[in-house]
Amino acid sequence: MRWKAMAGAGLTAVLMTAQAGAADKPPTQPVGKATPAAEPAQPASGRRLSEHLRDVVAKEFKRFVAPHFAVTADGPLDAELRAAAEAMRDEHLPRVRVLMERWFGEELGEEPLRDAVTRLQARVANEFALWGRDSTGPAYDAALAQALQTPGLCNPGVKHDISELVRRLNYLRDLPPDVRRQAVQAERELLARWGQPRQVSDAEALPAEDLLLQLRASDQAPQKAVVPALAFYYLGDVDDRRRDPLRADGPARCAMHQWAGASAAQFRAALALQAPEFVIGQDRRQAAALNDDGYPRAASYFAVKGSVTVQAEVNANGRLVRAKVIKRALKVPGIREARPFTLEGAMDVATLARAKETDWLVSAPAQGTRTVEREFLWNPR
Amino acid sequence: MKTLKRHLLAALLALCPAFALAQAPVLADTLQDRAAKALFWGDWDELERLHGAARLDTRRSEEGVLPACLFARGIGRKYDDDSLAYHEARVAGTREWTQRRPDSALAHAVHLEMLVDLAWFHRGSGFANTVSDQRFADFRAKLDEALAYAKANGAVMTQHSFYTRPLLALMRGLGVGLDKQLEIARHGLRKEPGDECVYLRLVDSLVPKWGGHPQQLEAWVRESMKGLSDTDALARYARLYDWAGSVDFHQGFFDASLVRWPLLRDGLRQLIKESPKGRYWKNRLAYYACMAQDRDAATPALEAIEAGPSFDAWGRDGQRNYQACRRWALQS
Repeated sequence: MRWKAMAGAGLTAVLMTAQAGAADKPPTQPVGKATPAAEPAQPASGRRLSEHLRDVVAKEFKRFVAPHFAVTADGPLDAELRAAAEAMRDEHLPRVRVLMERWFGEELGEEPLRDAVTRLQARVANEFALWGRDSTGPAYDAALAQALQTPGLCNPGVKHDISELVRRLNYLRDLPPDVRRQAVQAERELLARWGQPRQVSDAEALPAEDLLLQLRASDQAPQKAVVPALAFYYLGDVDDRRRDPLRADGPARCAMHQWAGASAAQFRAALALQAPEFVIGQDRRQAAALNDDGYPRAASYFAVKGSVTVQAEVNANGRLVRAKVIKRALKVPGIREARPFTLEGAMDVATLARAKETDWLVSAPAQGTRTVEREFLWNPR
Repeated sequence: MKTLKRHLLAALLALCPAFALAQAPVLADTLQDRAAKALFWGDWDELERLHGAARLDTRRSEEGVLPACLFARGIGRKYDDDSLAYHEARVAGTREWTQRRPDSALAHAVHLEMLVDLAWFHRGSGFANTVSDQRFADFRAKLDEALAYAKANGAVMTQHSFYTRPLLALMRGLGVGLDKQLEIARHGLRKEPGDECVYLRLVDSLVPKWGGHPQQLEAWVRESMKGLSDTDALARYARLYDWAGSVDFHQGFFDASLVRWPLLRDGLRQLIKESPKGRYWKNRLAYYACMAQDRDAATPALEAIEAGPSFDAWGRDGQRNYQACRRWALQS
């Protein structure tokens, strides 16, 4: 388990320092609700983190957070949007740093202590996912819906690997000036919500990947034009050169869901950042792959537990015709008072893979197909 | 009048260093990639923006290429793993673009290019005896479709000279005679006099591979030099012949064409002078000097690139060509 080993390397230092600090500090308690981000960084105990522990946070921050807010001159944004992005980055990064120090303080009060860094990573990753799904309201949704009608929305420009912040602002570039200004302001407000309890959309993403695979299987020209990039990656003539849509990167996923006709909320759900790609650089397919112990890699790393319920259409032979996830009840250490959106993508893929391998004969109808629901449990051994 | 405006604008930009500094790296250095990406991701508005910028800003890239030519190269970028679905997606996407922007000359011209590319995808690039009858039929059908499109939308499409690129490719595919192709190129030049990209585009048709004769190529190169200053004329001579050498003649350049080494050499030196940071022309000077067996020119040219030769500029088997050239030059 390379990831665990990696986490373990940093962990030793964390443990030692945390224990050293614990001798002269009262034990920390988890905080029920996040407090405003402007407050100084301190754990729930009211004590500041030691310099060494702050360094641990700084390292996590530098590795996982700052790159998602990188703004460079060679990116796709025009001068006005770039200036807005730089201002947002400058305003937001110190806020996240403060939040992370507070969250880490909370995690140091939880057991097992050795997983405190992983729990912090999960929490930060979920904050990214919440940000991805959040909306300031109908006007912002309407602006994104309008942007989704723009061809080329997902063009990342020359520098393919653009940051999350740039990606979001890039969607707004061709909106009418007044709509664009309001949408940019909304983006700023959404960032200011980090760390605060909030209700975000629980919309399900469209099954754009499946729709693309169906199109590929049909071998017909699409009713609605796909952008050349999607055709190039996923609809090619040669089987072993076609890519797996579940492994799509941000721009391709964006194009897929725009093509599928996603609403603003569905689009945000599809593009919300997922912890495995965020922390361990793995797409959903890789993250859902099983370890030797039969547990998905991402679930192992983040110690995910719970269940995922699948609605399955089964034919008379007991074979699965199609399946979709309809319910999730997952717990992820470190993610508090929020749905763990950031790990649902990988768990969905892993669960649907299990569903595909399941013998559905007991649910098979005498003829035709039958729709059944089944809960799949995920508990580490 | 339009050219005058462009030159005036370029002069104004040059007089405003801060503005020029802010713009130069954005346009010239990234334009080809940006155009290719915009097409790949179906970003038509970005293509319109880039094309507009390329028409206004005539400052050359580090390698001495005009933005308008770089834009066209971006549109023409080919990928090894392309497929029928990819080509059809490009055709469908650009068709939607023309429907959204029926007055856009660029949209129609790029759509035409996609139709012609699709036709060539059906045919493939192999010799005729490797192409099945069915694929030939598809090729012809798509070319006919492209021709019909060009006829139907010619009035809008020909507002800018970009259309000459797909139209000449279409003519080559249909086997239309060189006289007609010359007419198309000259028509484009009447719209945008002195457009170097148009001069370069016709070179493709004038090489023996496409039925051209060395004298026709020579005549076209000479025509392109008319009205230019001595130095600009030399540079133009080198650009056009260099292009011809790279698309067809290769190592037989000096035997099979009417190119004259002294003129080419001086033209390449002029291009190096104009683009001192570029690497391509420095490499090409050494490459051709060896081919022409001019040791006096080859030795300093090789020394100039010794720190980092660009094998891409040395033709097929570039590294081996470079090594052979170097050994030969060091023999005496």
